[in-house]
Amino acid sequence: MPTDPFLTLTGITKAFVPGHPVLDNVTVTVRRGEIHAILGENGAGKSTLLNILFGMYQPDMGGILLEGREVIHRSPADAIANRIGMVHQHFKLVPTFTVAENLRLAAPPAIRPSLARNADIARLADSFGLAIDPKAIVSTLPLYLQQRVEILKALINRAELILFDEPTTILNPAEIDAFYKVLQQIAAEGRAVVVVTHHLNEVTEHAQHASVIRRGQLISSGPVAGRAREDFVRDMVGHEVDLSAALDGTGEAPGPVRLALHNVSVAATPSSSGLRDTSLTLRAGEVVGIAGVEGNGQRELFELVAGTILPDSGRVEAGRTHADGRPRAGLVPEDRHQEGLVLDLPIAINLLLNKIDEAPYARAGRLNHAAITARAEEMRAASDVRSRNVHVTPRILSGGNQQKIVLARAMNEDADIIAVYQPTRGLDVAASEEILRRLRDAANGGRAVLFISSNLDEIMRISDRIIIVYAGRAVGELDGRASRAEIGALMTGGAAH
Amino acid sequence: MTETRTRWRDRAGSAAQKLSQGYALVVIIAFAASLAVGLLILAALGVSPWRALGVMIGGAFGSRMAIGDTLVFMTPRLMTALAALIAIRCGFYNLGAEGQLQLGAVGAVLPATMLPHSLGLLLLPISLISGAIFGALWGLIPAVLKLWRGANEIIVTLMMNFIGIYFVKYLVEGPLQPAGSNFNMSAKVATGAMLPLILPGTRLHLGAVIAVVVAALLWVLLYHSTFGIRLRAAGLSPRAARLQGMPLSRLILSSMLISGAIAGLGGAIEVLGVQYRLIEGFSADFGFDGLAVALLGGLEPLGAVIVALYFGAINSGTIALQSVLSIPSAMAMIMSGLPILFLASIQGYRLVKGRR
Repeated sequence: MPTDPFLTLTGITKAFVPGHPVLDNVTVTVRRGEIHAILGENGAGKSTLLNILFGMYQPDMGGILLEGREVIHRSPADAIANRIGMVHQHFKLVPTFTVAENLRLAAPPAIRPSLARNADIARLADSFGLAIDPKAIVSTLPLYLQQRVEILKALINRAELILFDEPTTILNPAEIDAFYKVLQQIAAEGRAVVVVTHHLNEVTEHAQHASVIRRGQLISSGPVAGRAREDFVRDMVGHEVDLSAALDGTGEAPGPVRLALHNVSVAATPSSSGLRDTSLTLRAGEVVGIAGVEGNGQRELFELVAGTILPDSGRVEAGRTHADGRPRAGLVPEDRHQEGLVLDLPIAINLLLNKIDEAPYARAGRLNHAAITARAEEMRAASDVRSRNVHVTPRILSGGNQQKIVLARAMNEDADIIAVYQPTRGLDVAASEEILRRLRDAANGGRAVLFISSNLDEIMRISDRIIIVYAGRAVGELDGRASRAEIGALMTGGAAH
Repeated sequence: MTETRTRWRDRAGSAAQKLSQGYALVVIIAFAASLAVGLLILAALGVSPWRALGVMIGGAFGSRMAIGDTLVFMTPRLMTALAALIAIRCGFYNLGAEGQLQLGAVGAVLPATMLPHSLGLLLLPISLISGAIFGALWGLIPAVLKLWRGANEIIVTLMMNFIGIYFVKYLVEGPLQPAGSNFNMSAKVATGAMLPLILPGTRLHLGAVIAVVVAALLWVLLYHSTFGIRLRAAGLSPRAARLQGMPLSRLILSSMLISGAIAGLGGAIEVLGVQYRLIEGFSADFGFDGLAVALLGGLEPLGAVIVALYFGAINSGTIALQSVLSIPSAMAMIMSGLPILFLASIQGYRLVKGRR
């Protein structure tokens, strides 16, 4: 396997705000024939590095050496001309076009004639081991196939280096394995592959080379062989983090049923399967994990518990309800910025948004600012939200601090149920651990926690029971100690791709 | 069910956020630049800009009568601005203040011309309230259409302005035109329905005070009531508000009732305080000016008062320009249009530059 250096980023420095470099003198060499993982926490600078390489930003200092010659990427077009392809986290496809049309659109003019017939495209895709139906409309394809179209786009442009930004968040375990097989093949043909990720398993299992960035600095860069997960975590975070810290239950049998869904169905949408005849129960003192590939009914499940939708058929029964019939539940929604917080209202209001019309925060429709501030300060201290005071808006806070506000409000709800949806998405390791710890403590204190996530590691660590959803149905229920393989098999509906 | 699954747009949230960053400074720059350009235009017309500036300031604030005129010009624009801002803060883009103002004028002139004059001073509150109710009902229509049928409120409110304007035209050419009159106007309102003048020797009427009081009430409502905080939450982040159980539909209906009522009251004030009749074309685009005032004022009641006062001063100042220096009073439109252009340019530039 050839492993010549293909490209070197030398001394890349970039500051969006003067004096606060996002990247500080980062040097990374990418070799042909290797899968090179770039690891780092959120905001470490790894996406910025990728974007500089792909010509979307210009570095303040440093440059790009491509096979020993200095190149400047003023725009993605320059990068593509230098045989670099990028698969973005959010795909850049025309959803209403067919696969063939998307590929022709992306192909350089010289190549377009050779892609004129759909059969040409099918043959080309097969030659890369990426079989796909050229006539399929992109929006009707599952995400792993859409990703395949993106990879084909890069290959058609004769990319020698393909960059992937968080490519596996949309894939199930079987698809992740298949994805890395494709990458191995691409690398084996002498190309270079760079994958930005924060999933350590993927790095230790599939990558040959790993570079860790922390707060804009390159901490380590070298072969993966011989390094353990813990080594990478230490490089990412800067101190030891015990990722296997126990998140165990009390060991007692769970208490009474707090939430029950009886044969609920919710209509499908273009982005989700909806729910079909799904039943589940949630008991006091337990964490029930909902595992599944995104779009298999998780959002509908959360919204049913939140009471923002009603089932088309079936019943939702909660121990306690609001006056308008919604289940009483503390809620940590999926989208922190749009659903969790009102980013332009003060932290104090956000903390008490669910109680803002109750005494003592309001009397006869008039806000009692003193009572609101006092209680919010209490909550802020108890939840360790790092902000100047409770009068600033959460917009300026880090994701971890924002999520602490959302979680504090959920815990403050007079409810037996806590429903969380992707509670650690976008948070760094330390903040994630803290959120998980608090959720486990809430369950151990007698609350019932519904834990919906696409992060299987977290589900496996925290859950007492794991329910797997597929195509809108609860297709299986496993014990909290179930293996990844067992869960993974159910996540794909029992059948592998 | 269909209502709860509606996807709410987040325009107001992002707009409010973008506008709030260093907003005061941006507005001051926009006004300063407008004044500079305005003076340059005057210079190009062969007038000494400094003399023109002096005449304008004198015409706006130089005498008791000038101040009275400025405040009279301010009043309808402030009312329509307050109407626009309360709806927009709830995420409902009410561009229909002009139509609501027209209907408010109708609502005021009906009791003020038709009820027995023997009711005396009672006619004033009756006519004002009637105007507010007409405006509120007119404002409710687009809200209902949006919530029930998903109709785009920007289009509906905008188009309903023309219905309102032509409805007034129809009335004053027909049913409300006194017999034997050739003028497109109603009969004069009863003396008891007229807003009292409050500054001797000027045209200043009680309506100006009402407008400022409404602004203060709106400020209390927005910042010190649970209704206000829910309205703002719904406008800034409807999905977050919905998850916390806030009744978005009810909030929008309420905010549009208030919005329409304020604009309608503005129309009533114009009829009962300035014209004393319903006249075709009585509104010099007050509704559209008000929208500009609301946006330039950062969708804040206090900001609206300040900007409306500026608009009032520009109007009275350019009238002085016309009478003293024979400069067309269309200069007023230039002077009130420029800040909007500058503000939009600066904000647009910041938006584009901020996008990474």
